[in-house]
Order: sequence, then C-alpha cells, then structure tokens
Amino acid sequence: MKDALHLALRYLAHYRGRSLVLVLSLALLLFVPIGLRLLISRSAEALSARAAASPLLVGAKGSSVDLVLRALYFEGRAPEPIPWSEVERVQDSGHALAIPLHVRFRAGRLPLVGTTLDYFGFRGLEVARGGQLIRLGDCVLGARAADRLGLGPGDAVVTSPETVFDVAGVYPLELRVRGVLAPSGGPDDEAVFCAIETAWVVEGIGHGHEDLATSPTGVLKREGDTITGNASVQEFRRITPDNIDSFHFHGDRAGFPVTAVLAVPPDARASALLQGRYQGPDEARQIVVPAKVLDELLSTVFTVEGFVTLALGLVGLATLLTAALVFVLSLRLRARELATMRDIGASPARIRMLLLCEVGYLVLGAATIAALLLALTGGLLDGLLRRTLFG
Amino acid sequence: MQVAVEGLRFGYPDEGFVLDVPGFTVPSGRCVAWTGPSGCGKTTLLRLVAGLLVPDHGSVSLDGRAIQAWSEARRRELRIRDIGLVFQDFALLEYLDLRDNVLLPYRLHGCLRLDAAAAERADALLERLGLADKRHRRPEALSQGERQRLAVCRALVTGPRLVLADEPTGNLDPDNREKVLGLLVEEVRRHGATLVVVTHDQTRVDRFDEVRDVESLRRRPEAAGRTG
Repeated sequence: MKDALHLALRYLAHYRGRSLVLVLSLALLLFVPIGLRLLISRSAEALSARAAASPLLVGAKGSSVDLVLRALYFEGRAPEPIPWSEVERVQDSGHALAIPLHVRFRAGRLPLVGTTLDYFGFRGLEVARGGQLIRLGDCVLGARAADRLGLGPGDAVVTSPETVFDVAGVYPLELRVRGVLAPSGGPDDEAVFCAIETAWVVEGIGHGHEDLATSPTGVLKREGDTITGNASVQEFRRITPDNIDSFHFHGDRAGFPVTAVLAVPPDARASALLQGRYQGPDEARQIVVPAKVLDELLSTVFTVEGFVTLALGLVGLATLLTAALVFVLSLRLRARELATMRDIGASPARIRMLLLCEVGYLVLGAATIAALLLALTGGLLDGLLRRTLFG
Repeated sequence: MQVAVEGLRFGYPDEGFVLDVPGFTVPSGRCVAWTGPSGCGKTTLLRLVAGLLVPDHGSVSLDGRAIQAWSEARRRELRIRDIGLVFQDFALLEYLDLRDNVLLPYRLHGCLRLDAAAAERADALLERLGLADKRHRRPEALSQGERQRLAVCRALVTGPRLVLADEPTGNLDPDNREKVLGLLVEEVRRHGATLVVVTHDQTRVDRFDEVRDVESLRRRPEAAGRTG
C-alpha cells in the first residue's frame, strides 16, 4: 500500500497540471450540490428557529409571507400598516402580551425597528455597551449593525426612507445611539431599534418645532387658541434635552400606524382563543403562526431545491463520466508503463491498487478543496437565501 | 541460473506463427547472445523463458524447475526475485527520478523489501554505471545511452540470477551500443548471473560466451511471423 501510494503521488505530482484540472473539476462537483444543500438547510434552520420563537403575528390582511418576513426578519415588502388600536385590542384581550413593531424606515442603511422595551425582554436581547432606550430620539444598535456603521454609545445615526420613492412627510431624523446590544445570532443583530414613538416622529406624525406663540415670523394666522404656522417654521431634526418638550403628536394615537403586533400568549389555550378572535368573516386583520407560514414557504423552496439538485446531479454525472473517460484514456497512454510493471512482476491487483491510489489522491484533494470552499463560504451562506429570495 | 528448453512449441494462432524448439540449454553463469533476423521468434523465446508466455507444449526449466506449470503468481514472484529484464525501448517511468526507477521492482511486489540495503545497492549501481550525479533527476534529462544504462541498473538491483535483455542496444548509436553492451556483460559477470541477450546485430557478439542463431534452434524455421 505504501509503495502504491508513493508511486501514485509521484505520478500525480509529475503531471501536476492534469491532476490539478481533475482535482478542481471534482472539487466543484462536490462543492456545488453540497454548498447548495448547506445554504438552504442553514438558512432554513435560521428562519425556522426565529419563526418558532415568535408565537403569533397580527397584521393587515394580505400576504402572510410578507407580514412574517417584515415583522420577524425586517426584510421583504412592507405590508399595509395597521392602527395602534390593534395593539390595544390584543393587549386588552387578556390572551397575550402585545408588542408593537414598526418596520418601515432605515437608519444608516439598516432596518429601523420601532417597538417597546417588551421586545428586548421577549427576544432576550441585552445591552452590551451603553444603556437602553430612555427618551424620544434614542436608539440602540444590534451588534453587527454597530460594527457595520462603526458607531457606539454617544454617536448619532440619521434615518432615511425605506425607498427613494417613500418621500411623503419623511425627513431625516438624527437618532442618538444609547447602547449596543450583545450578539444574538439573528436579524436583531443587524437592526437599529428605537421607541415606537420615535418611529412615528420619523414618519412625520409627531414633530417638534419652535414655539409659535413666541415666534416673530412663523405665524400664518391666529384663530382664538389655534395658531397656524407658515412654511418658515423650523422643524427640529434632532431631539435634544432643550427641544424635546416641543415634540408632540397630531391626531388620535389609536390610529397611529404599526407594521405588525407580535402577540405572546402565555399558553396554547390563550393562543387558540386569540386566534379565534380573528376568524370572523368581516375581520380586517389576520393573525398568523409564523412557524406555519415559514414551513409552507420552505416546502416550496425545498421543492425547487429538489429540481436544482436533480439538475446538478445530472450535470455532475456528466462531469464524472467525462473525468472517468479522461482517466480511462490516460490508461491507454500509459499502456507501455503498465505493461512494464506487469513484465517486471507486478500483479494485476497491485496495478489496480496503484490506479486506485491515484484516484484516491484526486478524490482526497477534491474533497479537501471542497471542504475548504465550504468553510470559506460558510459564513457568507448565513442569510444568503433570505436576501436572495426576499431581499 | 540454468535455462533449459525441451520440446517447446508455441504459436500465435491469429498470426499463423509457430515457434517449435526441440531443445537447448544455457548453463548457469554463461553470457549468451541469441541472434537472427526480425520475425524469427527471438523475443517470443525470451518471453517464454521469462515466464511471460506459457508454451503450448514442452517445457521451460530454470534450474531444473519447469515453470510452465506454475501459477501466474508464482511466475511473477520468480521474475521479481530471480530475473532481470532489459527492454529495447528502456521502459522507464518518466515520473520517477533515476533512483526511484532503479528501485521500482521493490515497489511492485511484496516479496521484496525496500530497505537501506536495497537503496545502497541502487546507489552503487548508479555509481558504477556513471549515473550517480543524476540520481535525483528524471529520465527525460538523460541521453539514450544513459537511459539504457539506467534500465540495466533496474534489471540488476534485485541481484537476479538470470538477466534477459531484448535488443538492449537497438535504439542506441554505435558508440553507446558498445558501451552499454560492455557494461551489461561486465555487470552480469560481476553478479555471477546468466545473461541472455536477444539481438539482430551480429557485429558485437564477440564478448559473449556463446552466440546462437534462433533459426538454428527451431525445428521448422518460419519465414513469416512475429517480430523478434
């Protein structure tokens, strides 16, 4: 065996160009289907784990997939907003803790998530540096968000519309970074969190501006206690201790928008009762179990993956046959060499062993390269499916 | 090692060639040249003696042991232990360096052990045949004469008792023919082995103990047939 390995290695090393081509071909043959399988299974695991940890979601009727992806992964198309009264409806039902989610804007190119402190407790998110949200205009950064933005406590980050077309009433607001969360291994790591009220300010529902009662130039008209400002009134784009008292909201809070309500029932019975409340024929909202929605979505992904794997398998088989043909043809070129070995005294088994060792080295080399490629790309695989499919 | 052939008959049915040899003996330790025109059966006879072919009738005996009845495996072990082969086209492995080429028999059969003594024998042979300074180079770096000297080293490294050389100088220029043949005979005599050289070149046979025309060994010479 040792001698066969020695001869095989010498042969492959001497014809290194040919060997390298074969090794790389085989490596790709191994890497592509395994990488695809790994990509899908890892992403599916990550998606499913997040969904399984989110009991119920209430949102506007429409695509349940959009609702789940937006509320849980902060990606995909934004569903129609629902009013704050839906948060109160869930809370007042007594069947679940209601956690509002407002996911429409971005801050520093990352999703801006408006919510309440209950969200951090529910997800087990802890502040690693700095402090928690205290006042209007504060934000905390996910661990990777902080790395990507290069920001920490005391810094500031500016909000932006979700898309360039989303300009209605949306002006940049400078948020003060209060803290950075510890890594959680999920989408929370790449988000910027603020209080739901801060999100409403970003949306233009709440604002702060100079005091019109004392403004010499900003008054358009006065009718009793009502003062209407003109276009010269300056709106604050940064919330500071000096101007925070000027911030206020117009309209009825019950109608303020949220993207979804994360409902956390204490037990299965409460969950069933809450779901029952959304089954009426005139119901304008939907309640979904994220894990079920994800399962349906992933079953489609796995079906597609099956076809892709089949196609890759056929291509792989063709490549394998071609490689085998190259190997067999090379045996013809080596006929004199192998005949010499036989004449000198090598048995057919010994010669087969020699050739098997050559194949073994090629497969080993290919497997090593494929494993290295998988290790190198493994980090990139996480979340790639999510971005590819829903980003 | 004594070579004895008796009542040997071997044919290539598809080619209509039949080699029919009543009998002859090559005494142990002798250096013999088998000559004859192309196609007279020299190579076939050599391969029968080496156990690479099995006669249809008759026997080939080495030191009194009729090898035609032996199993393939036993004949392989005989070749690797006791027979050194030299080929006209050198049959070197281009991907091995000179030292590995010489030691090749040790890597082809479990009955030989590649140890320090074998390596020393290989180095000594390379030294004597003037190839020591190139021992770590590949055969492609050698001249034709050097390549055949390397093939001679490989044939002798296991200390065979019989060396069979098939047209060992057929691909060499006149100068190298003389040198290589001289070295081959000298080394075989040094080892005390029996040497059978097949050649159609009758001008350089004076250094052999005996020269036999294969046509004369045959019962019924054939004009057409296998290249010899």
